[in-house]
Amino acid sequence: MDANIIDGKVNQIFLKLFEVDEGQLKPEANLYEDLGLDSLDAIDLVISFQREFQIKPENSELQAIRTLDDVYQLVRRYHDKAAPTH
Amino acid sequence: MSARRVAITGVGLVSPLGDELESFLARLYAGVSGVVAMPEWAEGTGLATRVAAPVQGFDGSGIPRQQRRSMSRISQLAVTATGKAIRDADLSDALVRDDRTGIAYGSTMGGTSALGQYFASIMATKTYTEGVNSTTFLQIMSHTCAANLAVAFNVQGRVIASCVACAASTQAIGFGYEAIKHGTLDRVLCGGAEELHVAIPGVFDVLRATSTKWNDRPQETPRPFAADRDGIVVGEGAGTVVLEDYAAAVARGAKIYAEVLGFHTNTDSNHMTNPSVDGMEKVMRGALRDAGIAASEVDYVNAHGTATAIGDVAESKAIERVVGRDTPVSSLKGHFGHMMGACGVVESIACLGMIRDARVVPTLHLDAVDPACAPLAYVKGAPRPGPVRTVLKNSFAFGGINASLVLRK
Repeated sequence: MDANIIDGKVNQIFLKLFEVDEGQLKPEANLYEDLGLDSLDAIDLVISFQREFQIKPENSELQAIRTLDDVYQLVRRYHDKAAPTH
Repeated sequence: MSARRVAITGVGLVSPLGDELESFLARLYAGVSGVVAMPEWAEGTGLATRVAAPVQGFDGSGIPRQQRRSMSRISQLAVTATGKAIRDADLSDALVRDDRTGIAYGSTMGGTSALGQYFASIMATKTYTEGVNSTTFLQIMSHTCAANLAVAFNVQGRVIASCVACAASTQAIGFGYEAIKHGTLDRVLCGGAEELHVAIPGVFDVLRATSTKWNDRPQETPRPFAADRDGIVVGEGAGTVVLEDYAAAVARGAKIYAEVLGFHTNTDSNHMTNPSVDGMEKVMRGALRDAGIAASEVDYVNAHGTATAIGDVAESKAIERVVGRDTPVSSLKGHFGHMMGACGVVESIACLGMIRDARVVPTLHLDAVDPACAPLAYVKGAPRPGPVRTVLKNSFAFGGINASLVLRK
């Protein structure tokens, strides 16, 4: 999956599920301090990873997420791993 | 501490007849019905009733997301009604957040639509976690309204979840009253809520307790105490009353609608669904005893009156035993159906209006009284003018749960 498509899908999660304003969707935005997520939202973010991207990151990877860009990078990494090699 | 008096200082509701007190009362006096046809219930099979009393046009999207995410429709209705009641009582944020402010709130089910979605997902996917998110349980749990209210309004005193179905909000008012009376709390946000979901008429349908003969004329059912009644119409909504220590309410210059003078709740224990005339009589007598008044002082009985075959007969006989045949009696379920967990509080709010206006709302659609019902002073046709100083209000629930309140001007 193209990185731009991944980023767009991640953005849609934040717009729809967490009802953030489009203007808040900056890569450096802190999920908790800037976008207002909390512990329950973090669970729902993980659930949305599974449903939207069919990925199940490790707890240590999830705990390292701080910014929106961290989310983009995590999903991209998983998709790179899953990409077929020819 | 000697027993304290308890004042009602604020009301809020969301109902099939609107969410504003004055227009709600005007519709009651005018005989407006909130019952509508439910053609979407014909999409499945098996359901005989096709009428209900929904809250039309409700929008809970104004509730902040991090509160709303744990709310099914039922809790959104409850929070909306409670916000109105707090504003009506002119309670400051400091008083709402005071640790001597509590919540007593009930319902029949938790978030029925959230539970339904979860089970639908299991059925569709055979995966037990597919339809779940972080707040699914918070929407479904039986005390979802009370807990969501506490978070939404930052209430820090005790939370009582009186989830006893159709008597839930009458018990909630009673438990709030007792907590203030005995000095445990100074203020309690009391009430109940219910959301309309096809599962509720479904189970009442199986019990042959729903109205089915008026599907083509929804505005003419349910018909409490009428010879041609044929069962309940399920409604939805929420209501909240603010109860306060009477002296404190006077001291802060609060508007006082009425006083909660007495309360009693008991259990029939003879059967899960068959009403007991003895149990109903005892609960009304218990409320009058708690109020310290004679039955002759009751100016009006606001009946549970659901329009079921045996429930109305039993209640009428119990009312006859307690107040005789001359005290005006009516049920409001002809207007807005059976709001289940919300019915007791919404009907109590209507009683506050009747006390203020000195007139009784008649039972809608009561043309010919069932001869099997006791010969009471049924108010029918037009509103009945006259002093309404003391009201006896009944609610009865499956499980043999009975609850009665005495309200006084």
